[in-house]
Amino acid sequence: MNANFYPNRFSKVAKEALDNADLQNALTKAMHHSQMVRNQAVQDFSDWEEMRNAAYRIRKYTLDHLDELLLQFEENCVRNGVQVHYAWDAQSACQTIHLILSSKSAKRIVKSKSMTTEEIHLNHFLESNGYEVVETDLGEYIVQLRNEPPSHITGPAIHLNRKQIADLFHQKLQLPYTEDPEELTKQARTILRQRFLTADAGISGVNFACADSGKIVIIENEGNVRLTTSLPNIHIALCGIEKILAKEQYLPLFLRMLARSATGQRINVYTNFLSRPRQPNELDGPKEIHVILLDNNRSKMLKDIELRESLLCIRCGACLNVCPIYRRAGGHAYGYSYMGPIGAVITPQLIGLQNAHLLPYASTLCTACGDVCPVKVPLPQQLLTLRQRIAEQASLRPWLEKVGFKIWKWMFSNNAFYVLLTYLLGFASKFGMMKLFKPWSTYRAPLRRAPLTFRQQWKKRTYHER
Amino acid sequence: MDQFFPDSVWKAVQLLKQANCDVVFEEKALCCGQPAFNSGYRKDAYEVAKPLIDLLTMTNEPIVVLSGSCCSMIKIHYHELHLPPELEQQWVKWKNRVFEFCDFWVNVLQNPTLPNSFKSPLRVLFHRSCHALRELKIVSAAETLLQQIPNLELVYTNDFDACCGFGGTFAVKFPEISISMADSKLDYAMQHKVDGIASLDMSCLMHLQARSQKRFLPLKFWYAPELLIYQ
Amino acid sequence: MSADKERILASIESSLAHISKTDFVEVFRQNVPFSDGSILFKMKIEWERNGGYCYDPLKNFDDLFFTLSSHFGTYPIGETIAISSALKPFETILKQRFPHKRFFIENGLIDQVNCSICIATAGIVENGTILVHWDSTQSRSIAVLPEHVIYLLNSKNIYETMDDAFNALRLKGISGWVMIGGPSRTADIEKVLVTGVHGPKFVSLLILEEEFYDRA
Ligand code: SF4
Repeated sequence: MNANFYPNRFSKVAKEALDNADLQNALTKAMHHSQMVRNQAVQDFSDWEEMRNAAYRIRKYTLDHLDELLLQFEENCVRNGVQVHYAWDAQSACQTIHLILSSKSAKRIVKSKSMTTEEIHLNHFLESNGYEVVETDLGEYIVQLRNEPPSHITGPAIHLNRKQIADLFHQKLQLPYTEDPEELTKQARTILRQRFLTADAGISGVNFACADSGKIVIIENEGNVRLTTSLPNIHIALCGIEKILAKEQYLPLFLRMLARSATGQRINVYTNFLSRPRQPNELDGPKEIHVILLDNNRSKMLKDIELRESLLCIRCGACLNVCPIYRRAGGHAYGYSYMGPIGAVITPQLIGLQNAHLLPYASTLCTACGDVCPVKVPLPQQLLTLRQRIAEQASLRPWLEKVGFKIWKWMFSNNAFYVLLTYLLGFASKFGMMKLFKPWSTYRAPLRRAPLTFRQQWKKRTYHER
Repeated sequence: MDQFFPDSVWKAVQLLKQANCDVVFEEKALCCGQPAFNSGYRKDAYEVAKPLIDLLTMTNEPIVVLSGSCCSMIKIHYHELHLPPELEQQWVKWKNRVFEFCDFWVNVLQNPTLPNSFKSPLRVLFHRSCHALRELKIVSAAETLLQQIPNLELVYTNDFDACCGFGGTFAVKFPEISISMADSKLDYAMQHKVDGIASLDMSCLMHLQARSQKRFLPLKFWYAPELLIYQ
Repeated sequence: MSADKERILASIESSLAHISKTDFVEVFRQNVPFSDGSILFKMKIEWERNGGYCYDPLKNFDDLFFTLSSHFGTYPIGETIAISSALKPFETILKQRFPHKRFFIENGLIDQVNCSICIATAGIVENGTILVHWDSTQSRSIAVLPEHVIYLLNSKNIYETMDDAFNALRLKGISGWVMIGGPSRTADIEKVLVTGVHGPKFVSLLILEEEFYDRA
């Protein structure tokens, strides 16, 4: 297991996050802001619910016909002069990229933000193979300098405040100290601009891939994807196989929904529609475009009828923004490239239940995530299903919990037991034994049982009435 | 409710009686099975829910449930317990007869009695509990109900959909996060100088109450319908 | 099976026809104060809502040069200005009108220049964006690399919705483009909005009325 994946340390990392006042402030502020702008933005449409239904059906269609759509997409790409590769898992994806780069002896690489490349730990791989990789999305650049993974799907550096960033730039880049976001951005722009101009290859993710035209669509605000995909000679796009849309004409719906859900904008600043490499008479652009279709357990997820709908996700991050757990635990606690409710659902599927068995429990099932999701991923239900699977695997849950639920089962499925245990509980609470239930009582007052349960009172009352 | 909040139950019974309903309490119905269901133990949950399911399949009367999350378990999630097909067919029929108290009061009984009036004004933080809000969608009904009560002022938290942090076993699995969530609620309540917190979900209240007692906060807690006859 | 697929797609498409297009058109009809409801002004307003700058639609060369000179006056624009080769016919006339600026036809790499003028293929009123495509006459980077970018848009090419605009481009046989909605921006540091990250900080749109555009 890669040491960089640590979902099972959720409690520990989350506790650290809770004690970190800076982080809590930054997160709370950012998440409230995101929620607010998102809620405002969806007001543009009176039929948001219908839009969600349509989006759900389109994405569902993709999952149901993925085999054919992938072939169709590949065919169209090849016709456009784009090279298509399939990668079965993280390792083969990395190797493919390595092969492409080394065949052109490309060394300097610019990357634009992509969760899929985080998923396969591409940066790590490339660096250890002697490549110079630089992230170009501002937030991602910041976390790269800090040697951290991103903490949010759409805002990788959301957990930091301007002071920390100022310190970082000052120390790592020897730039004059400033806390002004505008100045900081300018500093990053200057450095990264140089990187763009000298880069040999650009690596990006993909938001949507249209099967019927072979176009890939990449969404961004900063302009870095635009530059990544037009300045270097090689462009490599890493695309999860579920990103396919059957028809290009469905795009407007998704663009409307994605921008609003993700950042509350009407539309992202740049939406790149890319389909073919540089033509002989064109002035610039990559000479080669490679699309790498990554499986990495996705086809396994697809087979799983109960859980496949988590592949509907379009990575907007809205479910993170509303999640009270995410807001407190922070993205790093989830220990993998996906965080928040969607992380809790897909991480165990991607890297195996036993490697992430805590995540599905890190939710109060408040169902806020399911409500905001633009493509109606049934997140709460999926969490429940995962919990059931985990509970079935004996080694993954503490024995205490299992015994607890056995007792609870006896108690509540049989009247006689219930009465008996009621008495016991009465004693327990009388003698203050409820205090012994540590995880509850360390932080909360012990529960006090009423002197007479309702059941007992009801019996008495009806007896008297008679 | 049986163990910890018998008073609230009595108040609800009293209210229903005032509204000329015959109230029947079934001893055999113990628990809806939600705790185990939410933790992934669906089989255990089913076994616990079985007597209740059998019972409800046999009756023809409307069923009133006194807690949002239990109600949504019964109304919305039972089919996920992998019921045997006959039972599931029955469930589809009877689930529409299951109501949360507020739902029943407003939508079925059509607000029968005049609401109670308080002698002195009361400020109450209304906690929109998640299951009632998003799954049952009965919060607005409850709010209209409470707003009719003279002298009662409702306060909401700023991010009003925020969860209290109970989440069943979540509260003991990740106590720190759970507590931090409860504290946000309680702090908000204290800042806005409310007299107490009302909710449609007893479990949320149990959690919030336990935390507030630990912190020695002067807050009271009500199951929302209690306010109809609270003096 | 294939009939089944067709049926699903058809039903999805018929449901799409009803939603999400009509709604915002209504919304901005209410918001736009112009009684003539001219799509040109709507475009201007929506573009400005995205943080760009847009001049009133231009009717003739005088308008154009007047606007450009006031533009050069307001913004700190360097001496050299890159223009896309689609604007070649303008080159001499621009040089005459603005003798102290250096105009040159871009050659694909314009990183030293801080201002460029290029052609927008289409405008979309729905969200105030423009589409810019690349081909032998216009490079990919000219639309995003400099700090100031001026886009020229033919009023004929303004569409109400994304769907219409994308279709129009496809019909013209264009296969790659970028949809631009305002200046390049980020909120990565404490959610503070900063413009001009990797792309332009100032984006101006000049809408040319159809007749004039054709003549030019
Ligand atoms: S699950 Fe839904 S809300 Fe969450 S990131 Fe994916 S699309 Fe967005």
